[in-house]
Formats: sequence, C-alpha cells, structure tokens
Amino acid sequence: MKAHIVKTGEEHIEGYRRLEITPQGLNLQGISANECSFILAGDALDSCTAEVLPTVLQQIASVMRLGSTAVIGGTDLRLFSRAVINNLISVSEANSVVQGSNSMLDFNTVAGALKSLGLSIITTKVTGVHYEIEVSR
Amino acid sequence: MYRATADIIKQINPVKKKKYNILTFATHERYETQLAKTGHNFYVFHGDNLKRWDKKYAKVPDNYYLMPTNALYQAIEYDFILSQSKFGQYQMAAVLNQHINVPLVSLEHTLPTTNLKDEWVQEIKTMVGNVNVFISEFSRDAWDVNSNNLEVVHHSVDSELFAPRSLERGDYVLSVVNDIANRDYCCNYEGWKRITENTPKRLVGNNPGLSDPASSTDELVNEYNECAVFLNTSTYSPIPTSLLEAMSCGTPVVSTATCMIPDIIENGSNGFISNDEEVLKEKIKLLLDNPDLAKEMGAKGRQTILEKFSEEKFLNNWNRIFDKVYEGKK
Repeated sequence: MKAHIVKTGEEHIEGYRRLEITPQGLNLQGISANECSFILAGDALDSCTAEVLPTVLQQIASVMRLGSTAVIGGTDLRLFSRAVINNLISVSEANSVVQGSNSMLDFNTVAGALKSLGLSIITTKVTGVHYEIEVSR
Repeated sequence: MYRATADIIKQINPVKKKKYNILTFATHERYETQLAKTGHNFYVFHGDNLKRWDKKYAKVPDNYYLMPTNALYQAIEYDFILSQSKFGQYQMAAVLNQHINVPLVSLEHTLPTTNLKDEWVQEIKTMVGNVNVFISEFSRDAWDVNSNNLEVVHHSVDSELFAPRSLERGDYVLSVVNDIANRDYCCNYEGWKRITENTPKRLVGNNPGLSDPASSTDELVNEYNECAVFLNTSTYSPIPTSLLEAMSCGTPVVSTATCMIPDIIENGSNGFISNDEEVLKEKIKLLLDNPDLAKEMGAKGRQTILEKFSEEKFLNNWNRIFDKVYEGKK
C-alpha cells in the first residue's frame, strides 16, 4: 500500500491511502505495522508541533515495510531564518510560512532522528527553504 | 556449464522487473485500463483545462493514481512522461518537464482531421517525444511527424470481459459512439441516420438528447451481446474501439471501409465493410434475416480480436517501449 500524509483539508493522491496529520500527531487508524510500500510526506512535518514530531517519525517508521521508502519533508528553520535575514523572501511570505506551520525543525535534526529509528537515508534535497529526505527501511 | 549455472540462478532468483513511475494524463479510460495492466505506476496529472478520469467509463485501476489539481509531487521520481495527445497534453508535458526533466513518450490517438488548418498540422508534426507512438500504421503515416523514433501499438481488447454472454439477441442494430452529432466530420452522423432510417436501432453513448452512455462496462458488454448487428459508420477514426469490443463479444459487424478497418475486417468473412450506404443497409438486413450467418460471422470476428488485438501483444509492445525509453535515459 502507498500512503500520502496530508494536512486536514488538503487533497491527497487518489489511489494512495490518506493519512491525516494534525498538530497533535498522525492518525494511523486502520493501518497495520509494516503495511506501506511507499509513503509520501513531502511537506507534512510542519503541521505537527515539535513535541509530537519524534512520535510522528516513529509512527511513519513503524508502518514502513522492509525495503520500502518514504519521502519526508518540511520547512528548514535555519534556511528559513537565513532567507528572512537576507531579504530572500518578503515579510508577507515569511508570515504565511509561519502561519502555516506548527513547528519548524532543521534538516540535520530530522535526518538524525530518522537514522536513529533505523532508517537509511537514500537522498536529500533542499529547494529554497524546503527540505525533503528520502529514506528506506 | 556457466550458462547452465546462470540459468539455474535465474530460475531460483528471477530478475525483478522494474516498475516505472510514469506521469501521464487522463485520456481514454478503457485504453488506460489496458495500459495499466503493464503493472507500472501511472500518475495522472490534473491541470485546470485537462480531462479528468470519468469513472462512468471505467473504474480507476489500482496502479493509476489521480493527483490533486496542479500537484506534481517531484518526490515521486518519475521515470518518464507519457503524453497521450498533442492537443493540450503535449504542451503541458513540456511545462512539467521543466521541473522533472525526464524522457517523453508521445502517444497520439487521433488522426489529422480535415477541420485542422494546415499550419496547425505542420506545427503538430514538430511535436515529438523521445519515442512517438501511434495506434495504427495508418495514423502514423497520416501524421508523418518529424522523427525516426516511431512505434505502432495496436489497441487491445479485454477479451475475457468483452466476451459472448448467454443473452438473447434482439432484432436491432447497435452503434456505440460519443458525441456523434458534433463529430459528424469523423463519426458520420448523417450517414448513420440514413443507413438506419428504416431499421430498428439503438444508439449508446454520451449524446445529449439522443442517447446515454452505458452505466458501467458490464452494461456495455450486455449491450453488445443483446443486439443483432453492430454498425460502425466512422469515416475518419484509426481504429474504432467500439468496433473491436463488439467483435470481441461475438457480435456480427457492419462497417464503413475507412482507415485501418479494411485491414481488420475481411469483407464477407468476419464482418461486412463498404463505403456505399445502400450496401451497408443490405448487409444489415441480411444479418438481421439470417441469425445463423450472423452467429458464424460474429464468431469469426471474435477470433480476429483474439489473434490480432490480444492483451499480450499490447502489453509486450508497451513494455518494450517503456524499457527502450528507460535504457535511453540511463
């Protein structure tokens, strides 16, 4: 099964299993351990609070099948801060990013957390202030 | 010795075929249902002005993923784009490819119709992909695109689904076509009216005010199985899918002899073909009056589909093209 982690109200890829992420965490109701062959969570991490983020990453790892991959992403706090200081994004753009986020971590912290869960990092990609990490189990 | 060892290893541990991630667009639901049987992952991009998958025509296959409007999800790592039309999709594929930079397979289902201005046709000829696929030799030659990398993949019919059923056949002629009145230039609505004027008939398809489409594929199969004769009046269609489906159901067919149709139907054997409306009327009457002849002709038509339009050929051809494009990408 392929799964798409989206924010409440956001559309998902039809044919993928929809998993909703909220500030409180990830709703995994109806999904068994090791059930997913691919998980797409390209910009999902910003939606939950920093406190629940380790649990969310653990939840994602737990439903990944052996040999499966996941793409996990969010806004990188350091890149975002640098972009604001260097006037690379406008104040209004920065505000909308902040408004749409319940937390903001940095790429290294998330990569480290994923590694500590036993996942292998395949590729990493940074576009603007956004990072994506592809991991396999 | 080494070879034998390699063969044994292959048998024990067969090479797992790569599943490609293919970015494509909703086009012809039943064609894509067949295409999905290649087993690859198809991601359907929905632009504002692009067609959406119509579930009335076919259920979405399990490996066909419909993406939210204007969402691309580059993280999916597409292997290539499959454009299925040079009228909107090819142009959108070019825009999307600025982001993902993958090879393009350009499939064209249509023919250059007479209502296209010559300069448009010339422009379309320059719209080429890494591989250019046509659904018939006739359409490949008609487009004459500026590329040496041309392929023809004939349609396939799911002959287990579109199969004879134990239903009593009525005494009427069936035609299955969408938008027949507005597409008179290729579907020949005026001719259809004249040919069926004094014959019991049934039209199925999305034709507001004239007819409705079948509510499901299953119902469509029943439609083919419940009529006495199937009539195709198209004057400009590379290979009418409904004609092939009717033949696959063992329904005797009467058709115009245009484009690729004379290559499929041998007149008087597995169907009747002519471009003379009076002859078509006569052949319909002949089949309506002779159920045994109709049955025999229908059986031969089904045999043609099993031999020439099998899923196996279709899937092998598409997989060969996909492999070729992927090898070229590496």
